[in-house]
Amino acid sequence: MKRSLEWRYLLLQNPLTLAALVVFILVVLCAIFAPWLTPYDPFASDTANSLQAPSAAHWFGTDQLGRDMFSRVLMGTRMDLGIAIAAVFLAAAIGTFLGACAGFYGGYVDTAVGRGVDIIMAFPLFVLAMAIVAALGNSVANVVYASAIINMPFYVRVVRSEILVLKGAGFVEAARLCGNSNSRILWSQLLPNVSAPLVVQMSLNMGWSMLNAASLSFVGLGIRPPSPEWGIMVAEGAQYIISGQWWVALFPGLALTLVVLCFNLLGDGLRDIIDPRRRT
Amino acid sequence: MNRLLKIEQLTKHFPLSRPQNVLQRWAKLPHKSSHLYAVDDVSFTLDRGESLGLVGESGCGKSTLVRLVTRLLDPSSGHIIFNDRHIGDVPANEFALHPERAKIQQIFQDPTDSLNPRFTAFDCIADPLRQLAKLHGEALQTRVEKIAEQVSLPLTLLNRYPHQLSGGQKLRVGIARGIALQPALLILDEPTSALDVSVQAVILKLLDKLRRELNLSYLFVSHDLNVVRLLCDRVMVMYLGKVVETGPVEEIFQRPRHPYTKALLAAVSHYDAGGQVQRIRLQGELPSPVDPDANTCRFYGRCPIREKRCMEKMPELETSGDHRAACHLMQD
Amino acid sequence: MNTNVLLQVQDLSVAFATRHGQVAVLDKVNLTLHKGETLAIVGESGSGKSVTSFAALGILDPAGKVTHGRVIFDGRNLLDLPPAEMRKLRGRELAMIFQNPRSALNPIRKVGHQIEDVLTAHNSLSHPLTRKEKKAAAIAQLEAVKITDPARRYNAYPYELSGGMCQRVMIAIALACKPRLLIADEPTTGLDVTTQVVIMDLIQELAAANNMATLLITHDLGLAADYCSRVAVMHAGQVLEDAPVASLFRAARHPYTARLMAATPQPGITLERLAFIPGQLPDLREAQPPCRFSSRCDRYRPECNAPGLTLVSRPENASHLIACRNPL
Repeated sequence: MKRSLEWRYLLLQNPLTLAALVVFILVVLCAIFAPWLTPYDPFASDTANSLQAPSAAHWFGTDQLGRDMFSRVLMGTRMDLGIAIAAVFLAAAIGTFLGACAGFYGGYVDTAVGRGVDIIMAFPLFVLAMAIVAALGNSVANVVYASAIINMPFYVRVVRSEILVLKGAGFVEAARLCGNSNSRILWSQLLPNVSAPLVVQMSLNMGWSMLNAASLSFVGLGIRPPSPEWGIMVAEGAQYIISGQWWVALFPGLALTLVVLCFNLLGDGLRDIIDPRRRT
Repeated sequence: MNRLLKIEQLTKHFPLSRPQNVLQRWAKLPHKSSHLYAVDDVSFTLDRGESLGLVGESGCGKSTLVRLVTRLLDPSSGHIIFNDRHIGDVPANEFALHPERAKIQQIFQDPTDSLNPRFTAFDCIADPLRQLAKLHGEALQTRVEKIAEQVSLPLTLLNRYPHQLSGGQKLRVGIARGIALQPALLILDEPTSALDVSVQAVILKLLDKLRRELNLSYLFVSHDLNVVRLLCDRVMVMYLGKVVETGPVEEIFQRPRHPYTKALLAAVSHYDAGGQVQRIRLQGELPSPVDPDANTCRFYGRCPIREKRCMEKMPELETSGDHRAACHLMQD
Repeated sequence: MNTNVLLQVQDLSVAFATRHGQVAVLDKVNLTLHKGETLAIVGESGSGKSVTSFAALGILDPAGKVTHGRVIFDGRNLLDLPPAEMRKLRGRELAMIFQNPRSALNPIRKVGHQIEDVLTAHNSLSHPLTRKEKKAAAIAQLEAVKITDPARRYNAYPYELSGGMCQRVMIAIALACKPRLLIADEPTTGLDVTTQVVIMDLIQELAAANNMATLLITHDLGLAADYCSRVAVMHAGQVLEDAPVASLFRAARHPYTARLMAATPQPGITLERLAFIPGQLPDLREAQPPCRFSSRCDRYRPECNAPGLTLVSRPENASHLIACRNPL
């Protein structure tokens, strides 16, 4: 009741966040309903109509095999968004667990988790992701795992530092007197208090994780053609730019930019809304 | 027997230096261990239904003593005998499962900090009942509502979050949580220090009423002597980990014997006393509680009446009588 | 006009713009402080006692606006002064110390240097001090606030000092330029009782030595009684009673003051006789009646809320002011 009013108030005060939220919802709807929205079959090649410029029939033009670019970009939303969401949730789940244990129990647990995170962070993260996919094999699942692993350290750090501050609070001591065990205090008393910064981190991470998946396919790792995926589409289109067929690379690239920008704006906005200290 | 709690020679030393690591041991570096003497050889008793005030300034060890008694901290040595059971030997992290856990409860100093911001008032009060009394559903609901009534917390506030409550209301939630399990011993850690006087008066009356209705024993920690005087039967004054004076509350207020107690009482303002009262002022700062000299009175550096013998032999708390103090130079 | 008056707050009203609309935090506050006098503003949290001093010093939060009134310091209206003038006045003529001194000090600079900062900022025009002179002045200042071994403490960082010691440093900084008015906002809250009296003694002593007026803002009636000559009692942004200490504590005339005194634990008052004040502070977002205490007052009569309620002298004592139509 009162809470929802507050949200509405805050969203109206941040028009950029509101716009990002609207775009985000549209993108999600596109992803869900893509198969019913595409005017053409995104896999059907029509060599007679290859490399057509954008027109009323083909809004984004066609590619070298005559496939409709609009349909492919729309279907690509599904793939890229799916990978990003899966990777972010996986990273958040593992990272939260490790970070919470490290912050709460300290000692050897903290040292072990801390060094593990340091090792991951010592690699150039994209190179690490490439290595993981190369080693595990090209598949959608492996792209998700690679993305999750390189994202995880951020969650570990956020959650660990939040828990470190919170565990000194009076209500933790009170919970102990109420007969809560250590693990109960951690998971049912402390963790709900970490959810706000966690949500912000996830939303900021989503765009990055999406770029990551697209970059992997761009360099030829991960998703294979003919799957409609923005990274591959940009890679395929890149060779036609020089001969003047700019639309093949441009539209998937634009879609990627738009969605990543929207996630970043949403993340920044959420941080301002959730964290009252930054609110002015 | 009427005795609820007996504390015998309770001591808590915190080690300040970490144990040497492999490299330091290999290099045979000299290792000196120093300790912070938070609570040093404290003994006292508390009867059923009695209210004991614990008075002292910040850093005197009263918070540590409270955490020892609530069994959140393990003592270095000494005994805690509660209900004729030695509970000081149970490790703190296992005490959550001990049958006496429900019998020792606490009301915390900062009502905001001690309530989980993500729990409603109902959840805060229900937490101990869920964990230790294993109440659920309908039974839990009726119990929480009954307790809320006991502390005069309007039932409409039960589904609010702490940030939607005023300071006095938050404190009532904390008190409700403290008495939910019908404890025998309730520890009150400066409960009203964050409140305005107009609210404080209501809360003090509530606490007094609850003590009589539920036959609770209070260990009331405060730096406000005027509040202690209202609510306590006996007072214990601590200075730097040691008990320096203890006795019935009016005795202490009328005839303080230890110079520190005198200074403490002199610092309290009495606006109806008429005109300025002569005040004893303590010079200097609280000395460090790290590795203090075992033979020097802890109060020596700031004592207005110190003598040479005060740094040659540590004064011990008298062993007999109601009103006891630890000073070589007391005038009786 | 009386030339002995140092600070006069006249009909000061302040409103804060919040997301719930305008909040009238101060309502026609009137205060008079004579040279060398010690005045206490006493009130519970939310009574507007700190806002009064912030508004007077021109350091209100940007959301706050003075909607009405004047603050006359030494013949000049501070609210009309350009910001640059005001900055010069603050620190040199008007100084302030706060609750929680540790957070008011810069944690990564030596306390000696922080005292020198004030000296540099306010003495550069007439005759610039050399570095040596500044250091000597800073050490003298530390000595004046009775810090033992001032030459050594000059090099200390705030974290090395206790709370009482930090408050002494704050006093040293505030008094470095020998101001004529010191505003002390809850200077001893959070300190131990024995430290509290030592700090208050120090403020009192330095004020007397420098003929400095002190405005003590506190929630502690006892502290006000012990250290001030006059007390103004505030509630919900209004001054309800303003009287010399002896007159106020002997016979408070305003029902709120009387209640407040009866609610404060004192020797001789038993728990049964301890009073409390019914109700809560009124919600200032809503329009308020002329007497903002009327909804909590047991002596309320319909004529209490007729317009035009002001502080007036008591017939028996001209210096005892009270804003009540049905006084005790």
